[in-house]
Amino acid sequence: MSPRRLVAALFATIACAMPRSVPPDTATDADRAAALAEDQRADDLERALSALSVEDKAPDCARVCELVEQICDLSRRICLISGRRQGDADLAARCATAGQRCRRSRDRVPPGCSCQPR
Amino acid sequence: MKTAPPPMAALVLLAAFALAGCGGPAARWIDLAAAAHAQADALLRGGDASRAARVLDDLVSRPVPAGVAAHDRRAVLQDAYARLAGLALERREPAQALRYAEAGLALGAARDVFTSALRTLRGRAHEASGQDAEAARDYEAAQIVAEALLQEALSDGGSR
Repeated sequence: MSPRRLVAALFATIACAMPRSVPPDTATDADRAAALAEDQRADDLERALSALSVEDKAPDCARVCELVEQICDLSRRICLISGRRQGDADLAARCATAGQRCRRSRDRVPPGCSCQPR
Repeated sequence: MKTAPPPMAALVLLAAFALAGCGGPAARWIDLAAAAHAQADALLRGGDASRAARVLDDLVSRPVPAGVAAHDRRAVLQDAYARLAGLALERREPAQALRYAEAGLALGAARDVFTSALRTLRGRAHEASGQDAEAARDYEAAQIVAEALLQEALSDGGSR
């Protein structure tokens, strides 16, 4: 959901939630029922807005998985080079750090995303 | 390594193409870039990688109109250079791939998919040339950018 749509929904909720100025002495049962229905509608809209806000923050699993795969592919490439250059402490250290980045990235994949290792 | 543009890069380019659709030399250059990518895609589907590379090479060789925004210019050209470097690697021409990747990176580095892709491709070109230490440094730089992009994707739903 775009920020603009979120703001529009927020305005709609605020507009629906605004109390109507009904003079107390002239309120009829119909007015009260209408006000109650409006309150209910405002509550429903607010709940819907909250749900949309949560949904808005849900990660793009395809994007997350693609990045994790890239990070781990680069780790494999660095460690393959390190494997060819036995005794090069600098490359060994880079391999270890790259492996940590790969593991850290895999650990950060949200439970809702199931990334399949290629 | 795929030679097609990365999905986020494609989205950024699509946005650039859409935003530029207002006429004038800048818009025409963006249209030209979109057409060049489409033509290269078609040629690659037909198995003519050499002609696809020529089409993209022609794109990066043309002068860029002054009205093109700096970030659009960088995105379009870096994406084209990345495709050219990937195609050169597929032809087993690492020296040529290195030149394309260097030309792309010379346009500027940022924490984005273009920089990450070009550092990866330059690393592959170095590795194919037997320059392992340089390759490892490029792979590491690409990995750091990719990790930052992952952080963004996790924190804002990947909308960037």
